[in-house]
Amino acid sequence: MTKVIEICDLSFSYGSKKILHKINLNIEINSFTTLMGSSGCGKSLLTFLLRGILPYDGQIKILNEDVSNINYDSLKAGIVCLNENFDNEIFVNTVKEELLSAAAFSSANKEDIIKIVNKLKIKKILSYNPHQLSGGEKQLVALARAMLIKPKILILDNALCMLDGINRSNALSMLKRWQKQGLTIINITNNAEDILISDRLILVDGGNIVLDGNPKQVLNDELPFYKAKVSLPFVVALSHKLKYYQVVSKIELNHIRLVRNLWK
Amino acid sequence: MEIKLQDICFTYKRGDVNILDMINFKIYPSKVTGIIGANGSGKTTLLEIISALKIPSKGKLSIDNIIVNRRSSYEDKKKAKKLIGYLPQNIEKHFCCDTIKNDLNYFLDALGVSYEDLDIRIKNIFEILNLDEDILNRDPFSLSSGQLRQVALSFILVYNPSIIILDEPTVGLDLVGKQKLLNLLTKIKKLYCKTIVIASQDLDFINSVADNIVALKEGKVIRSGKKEELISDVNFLREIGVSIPQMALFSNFAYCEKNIKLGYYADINDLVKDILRKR
Repeated sequence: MTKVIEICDLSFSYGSKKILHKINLNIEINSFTTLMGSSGCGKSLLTFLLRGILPYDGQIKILNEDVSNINYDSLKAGIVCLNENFDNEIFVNTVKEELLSAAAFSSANKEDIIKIVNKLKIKKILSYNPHQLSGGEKQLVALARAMLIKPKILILDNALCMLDGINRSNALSMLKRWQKQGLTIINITNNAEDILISDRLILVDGGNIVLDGNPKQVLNDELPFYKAKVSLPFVVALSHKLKYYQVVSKIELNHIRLVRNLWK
Repeated sequence: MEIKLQDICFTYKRGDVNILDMINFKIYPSKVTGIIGANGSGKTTLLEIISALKIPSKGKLSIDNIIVNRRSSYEDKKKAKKLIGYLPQNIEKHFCCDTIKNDLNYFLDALGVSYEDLDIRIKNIFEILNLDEDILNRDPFSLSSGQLRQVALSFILVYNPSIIILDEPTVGLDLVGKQKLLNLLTKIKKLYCKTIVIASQDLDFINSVADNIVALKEGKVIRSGKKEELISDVNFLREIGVSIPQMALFSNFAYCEKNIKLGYYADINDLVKDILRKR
């Protein structure tokens, strides 16, 4: 499988405080990876390092280019990172202008814009000033803008945390569709339910990767999650508790399957 | 300390739309009120009005009998603001110094307060929030979003206002952070009789901590009442576009699929006991 991100012996400290310690990690093309860990474990820091914003020890390659020597033009639109807070990236007067400027960057056409606007249901806020939007609306606009840039790699750093139920569901289903069309996604989140839609889960704890695998396998053992202070998806947590009482024999990833298992 | 909102309207020059339209409800003292609603429903604007940070276009806010509206004096608005500790959504914007300690001093200076026992207050609050006192000497930029949110909450608790207003307080928090916040809010409500208002998309957290809920839709209060009534009404929550708390969702599936009526719970362990009883 083609690697889009290769991280080798990556370490970083703030002064004497070690945050990341010799991290080794490869991200494959077209994958949807969820990255979780306790507050302060270095998840967001990783996004700064991937973009070459902070100095580090070790090696990071993105699309086969070493990040420390990267030529900006060659990486242009290769990687887009969305944060929790969009405020510092707003420079225009309306949402429509934001989307048009993103579309111009990648030569996205009118149909692309209409498709994304309809999918994310942001038509009614197109004429609004982005600074007057709610937190969740800003995150939707940031996501729409990112998708119009047509990146190869999309990193979401708690970028969906303020979306309501319907918007979150729309956003995630749109991302899964784009994954099938070639997008590589890294979702940094504290929302345990996101684990269930991803291909791979990575847990970071104490500056190290403590768990890395397919959610269908790794969710069978709850201990690494408690040690890393990370929630389990609800239905998985419930399955583990019911398994302790020998009421179920396997961990379910789905509410309906668990209900059917409990009351056959 | 009762808070009353009467006929509150608020308009930005945003397509001439009322962000808030004829809002009327009471926030009961020493209780936790959860504000829920879809994106753009007006939650943050409502919190900013309750915090006296924004003045309503129409109507009036009354905090402990201090009236806040367009006709209020500067002194009354200032008095109202001093009763409140507000944790905003975008927390990073509010840190501007080179260390957390300097930000705390700046925060307290702005409020016009100083405490002789500040170091003891900080020590106690940091212990409750499980924050390392080393953080005081760190650059805010070097902290994660979750850590910054906890630090900002610690500032409010050091100030110790009667009313605490939190906008999306669980964003960026890990499992332990959320549990600590839940325990802390429960404690300060019961022991210190604080009035707490929380707006959040995290309905599981609201389910755990709130006594009452106010649901907004397109700037209007569409429903309000005791948490138990609203949180268990899955169809209503779907209608207003918010996430369904996982426990309510599971109970709903159990009823729809197998006609099993599970009770309404905030704690997963109580749900487990109910499941064991009904097998």
